[in-house]
Amino acid sequence: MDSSGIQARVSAFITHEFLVDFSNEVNAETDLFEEELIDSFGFIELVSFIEAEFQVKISDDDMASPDIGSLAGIVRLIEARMADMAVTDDQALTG
Amino acid sequence: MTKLSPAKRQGPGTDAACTRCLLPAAMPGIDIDASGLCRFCRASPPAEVIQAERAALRAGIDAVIAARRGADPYDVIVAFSGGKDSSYTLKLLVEDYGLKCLAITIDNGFLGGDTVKNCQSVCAALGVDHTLFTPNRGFVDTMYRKSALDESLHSAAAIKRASSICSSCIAMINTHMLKQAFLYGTPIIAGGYIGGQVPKDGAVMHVQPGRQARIRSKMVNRFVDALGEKARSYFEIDSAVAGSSLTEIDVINPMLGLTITEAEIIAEIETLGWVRPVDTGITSTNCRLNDLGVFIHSKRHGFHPYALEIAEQLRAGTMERAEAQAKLARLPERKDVKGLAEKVGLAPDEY
Repeated sequence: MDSSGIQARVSAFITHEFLVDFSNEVNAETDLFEEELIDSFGFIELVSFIEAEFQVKISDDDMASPDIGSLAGIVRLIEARMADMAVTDDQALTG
Repeated sequence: MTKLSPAKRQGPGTDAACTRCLLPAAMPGIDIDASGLCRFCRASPPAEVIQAERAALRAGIDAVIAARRGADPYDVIVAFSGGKDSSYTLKLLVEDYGLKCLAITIDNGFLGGDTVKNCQSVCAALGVDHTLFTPNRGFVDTMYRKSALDESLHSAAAIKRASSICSSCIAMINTHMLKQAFLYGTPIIAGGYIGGQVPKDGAVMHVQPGRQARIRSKMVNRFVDALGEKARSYFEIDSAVAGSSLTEIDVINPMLGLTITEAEIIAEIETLGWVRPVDTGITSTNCRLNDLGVFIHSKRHGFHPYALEIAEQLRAGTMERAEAQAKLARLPERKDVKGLAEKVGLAPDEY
């Protein structure tokens, strides 16, 4: 899945779940926590969604990263974790 | 900070609802399709699979308890409202897990006399230590009034889970439990939340204040902006964390891992002397103020604030459809909440 596909799925989730309208004042770089659009329960829902939808593991460090706060940052995080898993899979196959 | 506008909502004024879980079309973001199902039901597995998922959540709770039990003087602090769900949670932790529990009840000024009796009966029957914390009445009344008038104290999506009044109260209660856990050095907090009140992954939540400081500080600032500096003493946890032997707390909600009906819960806690209250209004088994929150929320948004949790129970097969319909139809009328509104300082044209 490419960046735009990931972004579309995350964006749809955030819009439905947190009632965020990305066509309005909010854009992909907006910090959703800073703007108080996602609260602590929402944070749990967001991390659960990312892990289930993209089959990646979000670490404690990821959760503390500024990237987790914005749509663009979340896409970067997912791509990085998917790349980590691809490397791990390759190592398993060749190891 | 400017609050950004949420996505367009359908708003009140329609009786349409999901044909399976009864979620009302007025609830934002649920997207009922031509077949009559909401997006949750379209993606939801059969009840048996939901029950298997709950068993997995229970295994996660068991793992936390196994890893962190043994603290002194308490294994667990239980957020104990005296209602049916937290009473059952306390019973479960004491009788099934054998944990040393401290039950803490917040007296927000709207606990009924029956609730106080239930708290005492349940704790006595289980042999559990119990404390009652009564926050400054003037402060909490002002908090409830502001919450009723201005929903921006919470994220836009919070309206799906609870009324604004309840969300503020829950935030204060959760903060108090966290502070007490850090002060006592108690590594686990247990709540009696059920599905729909918190995310299902809220069965186990790992609280690391340092890492989650950003979200908490935003919440604290919102309450301070609305209620003044006094709010810090009810919503900040920094001093408790600084003086604690703990750096992290696990919050568990055991009810999320269970498949149990309300009738079964009540049958269990009645063995402890719990009696269904008759003085807590029509929407709660512990707090009289719930009726005001439900009245304002349903009038403003066009749906019952319990709709999400009721829908979860319908999907899981732990509530009958007729019971769900009856609960959703059970709405306080203006005359029922007049006295409550006056107590928190709402003028007649403000609710």
